[in-house]
Amino acid sequence: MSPHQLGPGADPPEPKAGELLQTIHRWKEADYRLVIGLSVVFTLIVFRLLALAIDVRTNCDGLSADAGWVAAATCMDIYSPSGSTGRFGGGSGGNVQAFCADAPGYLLGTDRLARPLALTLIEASEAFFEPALLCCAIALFLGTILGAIAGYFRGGLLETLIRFFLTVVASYPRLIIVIVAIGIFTAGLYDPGRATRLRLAMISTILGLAYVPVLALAIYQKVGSFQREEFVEAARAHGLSHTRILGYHILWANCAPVVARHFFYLFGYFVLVETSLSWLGYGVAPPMPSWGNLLRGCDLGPLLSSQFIAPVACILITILGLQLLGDAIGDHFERGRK
Amino acid sequence: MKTLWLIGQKVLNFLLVCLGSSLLLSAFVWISPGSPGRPRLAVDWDRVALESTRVCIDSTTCGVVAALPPAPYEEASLLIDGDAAPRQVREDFVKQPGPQFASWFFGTLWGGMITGALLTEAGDPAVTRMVEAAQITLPLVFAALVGGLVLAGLVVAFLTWLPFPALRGVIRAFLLVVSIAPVFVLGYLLQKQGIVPHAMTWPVLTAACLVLAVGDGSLGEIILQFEHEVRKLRSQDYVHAARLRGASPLRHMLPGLLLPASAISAGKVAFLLGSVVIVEQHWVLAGLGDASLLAARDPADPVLLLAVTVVVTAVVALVALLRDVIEIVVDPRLRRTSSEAR
Repeated sequence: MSPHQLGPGADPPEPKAGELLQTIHRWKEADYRLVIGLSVVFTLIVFRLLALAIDVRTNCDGLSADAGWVAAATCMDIYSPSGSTGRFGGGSGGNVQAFCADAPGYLLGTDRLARPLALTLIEASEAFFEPALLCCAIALFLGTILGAIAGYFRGGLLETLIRFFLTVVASYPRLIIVIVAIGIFTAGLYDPGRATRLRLAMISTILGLAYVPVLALAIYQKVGSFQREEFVEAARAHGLSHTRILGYHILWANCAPVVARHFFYLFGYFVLVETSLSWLGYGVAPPMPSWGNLLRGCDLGPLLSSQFIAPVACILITILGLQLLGDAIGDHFERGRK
Repeated sequence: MKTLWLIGQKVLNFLLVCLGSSLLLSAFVWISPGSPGRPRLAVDWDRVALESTRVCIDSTTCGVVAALPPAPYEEASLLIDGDAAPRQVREDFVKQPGPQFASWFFGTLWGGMITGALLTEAGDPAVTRMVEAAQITLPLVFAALVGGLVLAGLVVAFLTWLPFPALRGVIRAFLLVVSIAPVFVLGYLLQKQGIVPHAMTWPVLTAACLVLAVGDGSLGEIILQFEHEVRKLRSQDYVHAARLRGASPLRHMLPGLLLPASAISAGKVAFLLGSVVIVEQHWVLAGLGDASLLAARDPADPVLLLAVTVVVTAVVALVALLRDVIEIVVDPRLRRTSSEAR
């Protein structure tokens, strides 16, 4: 008997990748969330590929090339958290204001370091793309394994220990635990480039670990709900191993929507945390651009100025698109099963 | 009796979670570069008050540092009371074991937290600092939580009442988009409306509370969860029966919403305590979030970071305990399930 015939998705057949693509092409039936979400993901990938070819850090017209990152960071007053007093309208005042002037001749104008804003926004994808993937990989790997084990082997010591561990980890506020990790591991690094890389790695790892309970509990409930399903009983009766039943028949065939949904949620959440921390001065340090640090350090002028609208729009559209995509993919698979 | 037994279990679980979370975090700090467990290797000889440093190898051989070393980890000039040579004193001092993790965790950290003797790097009592900061943060967070729940409840009630599905969708989508905005963006928008952070005034606190309640997806998430619960409750038989008998369905649905509201609150507190860092930074409020940011700055203060996180985690666990107690008291099925299981 084919393993596919054992699952509840055997009749009607489970949706495959080809069917998903066909759905996208059938515009009348296509879910608008799927279209928006996939457009956002496609744009992010294009941004990231373009960012590999762009280096606005060496194209900073407002600063001499020799000045390098030190001058750039000093004029923004945010290269080191210890030196940062700048909040909106405060901080280093006049010097920063001087760089807030918009320069004509560029698409969307320039940012406060006189870099072309459009290119800077594209290059800012470097700040979150790979770190977010790392974060998702950590959370999905650990969350799926822990949730699956706790859900499958219910009623034992293993379940109790895993659930207790998940409760403990879930009790940490994610942003605070990331700041704690950054504080104790990266304080004292005065090289912004090295500090930024280390901080991004810390944010990815800690945020991934902190998200483990969310996914693990979702998987735990899902796996638990399959315990008495006929296809699991049938697999047991056929003598299949626990690993095979849990790994293939339950997780692969039935929990993929949950994992996919959380992947996109977490990617969007990472963008939110990274931009927030960069705004605080604890994330990406200039001259490496981030959508968060583009909004920090000075009065951005009128609300309708491109210096404010463009990064905010990027953040909002990205998070919204990823959430919609997560919902759409989850619902699509669920519908396919029903 | 069953209720008390279940509540006792939950209280024990709360204490274990508090202990476990601080233990896990302390172990994390213990392996960090600035670990309090390796003071001898991590001594920054440029910063330490060397004039008052007294080094003892054993009970008889001690020395007092007389001058700064020329560079970190190089030989310091020591005034030796015993026979040992300065280099030997330095080497032996570094080789001596630091405090043990267990004694540091239970004695210095928890003992110091309980007795108030735990000191930050600046020499201030950490507990006093925490109490002062918590007086700002906790009211802000709980006000934002209650405000968010009330706001979401009103929105859901309005959307449920609204007879135009298309308009309902537009309003919901608009609120979700606004809610997705990061709190620092919402703070900037309010600042542009003239609410400038300068002191703890009512407009500033109200604005901070509003931003916290709405931003980072908080409000949108609560609205979606409330809508889901209301849809579920509306399809219940007893609500149908109440409607058919001419009674108010809302009155019958409200008790059923108590459990989801407590569950949502417990889940949201940890999230809000994270977002409050940004709100406090933006509105210049000296709360727990601000304390954690200050402690994370160079040079980092691991003790203060630990104290902040322990307090914040205890608050999260306490709210989860309250949720469990409400569930036990309100939902008789839990008591029945528990007695059957035993």
